[in-house]
Amino acid sequence: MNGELQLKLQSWLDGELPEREARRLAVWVAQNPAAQALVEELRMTKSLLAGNEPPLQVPESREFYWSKIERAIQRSEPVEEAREAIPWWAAWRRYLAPAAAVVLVAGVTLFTVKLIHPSDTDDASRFLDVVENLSEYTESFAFRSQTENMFVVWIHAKEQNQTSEPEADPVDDAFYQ
Amino acid sequence: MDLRTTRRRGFVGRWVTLGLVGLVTLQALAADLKLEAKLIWGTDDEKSPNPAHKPVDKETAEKLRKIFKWKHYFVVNRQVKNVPSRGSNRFDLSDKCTIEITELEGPRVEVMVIGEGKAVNKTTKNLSKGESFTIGGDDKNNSAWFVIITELDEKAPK
Repeated sequence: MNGELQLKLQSWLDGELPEREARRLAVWVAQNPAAQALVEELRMTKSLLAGNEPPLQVPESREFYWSKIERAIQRSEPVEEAREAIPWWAAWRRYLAPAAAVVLVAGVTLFTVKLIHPSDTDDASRFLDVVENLSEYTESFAFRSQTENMFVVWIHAKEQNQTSEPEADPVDDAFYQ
Repeated sequence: MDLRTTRRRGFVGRWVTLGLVGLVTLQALAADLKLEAKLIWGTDDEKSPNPAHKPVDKETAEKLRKIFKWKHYFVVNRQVKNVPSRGSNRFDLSDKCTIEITELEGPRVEVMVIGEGKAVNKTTKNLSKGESFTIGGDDKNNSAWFVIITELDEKAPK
């Protein structure tokens, strides 16, 4: 008798087989002495277990035992609610680290680019003071007073050439008024 | 997620936020240049014909006297403005005198003197704190005009 058949006999004894299959199996058992022996052995084991299985006693009462489970469930629920109640700005904090990294990389890149390619301006010209006359009627000169820490650009009327025609001097009027 | 992990993430988040705020603040501070422009009249007369003109402060007067020949100096107008980074701002100091200041990379400034609507002079220079950048010229009746530009520390009202 193979294992599958033995399991089927066990199911038949436990009343788990459909009615039609149970009838066919009962006929077969009646004709098969080995099967009858096995069925008898299984019946005996079942009756022994049913009569002698030790009862499992829970230390608490049934109500108290289930109330503990209920309280545990209730304790876990506020955590879920609190998680859902996180404001939107707090949720955005998770993006701060990558955003800061992006800003840092951009900053370092810009700084590096500036170091490698300072600008179109020549380095020396960065420290030069450049004074340009934009009017044909004026001239200017510049000087620095180290003691007074003052840089001065002085604008004055251009001396008119005697041969040229006299023209209006824009700085002739009071400039401060 | 356990409590320790949550705390650690909160700690990192606070520092990152602080860093970002710092960066933004630095950027904002670097953005504007606060400048003061004073139009001053230099003369040998003890009093200005315009009673609204007040004598310049003692320190400035001393400085000017040590460099220039005039004995008395009066403030005609004073303006404090922000010059935005890589931008310009105009200081209308009188009907005839306007200066336009542009902030350049460096930090450098380009100061254009405009007299009666016409560009007269353009000076490009590094601006350092504590230094007075003075543009001046002769005026009628043996007097002179001066525009003193100084960089201020605080931020100017926009």
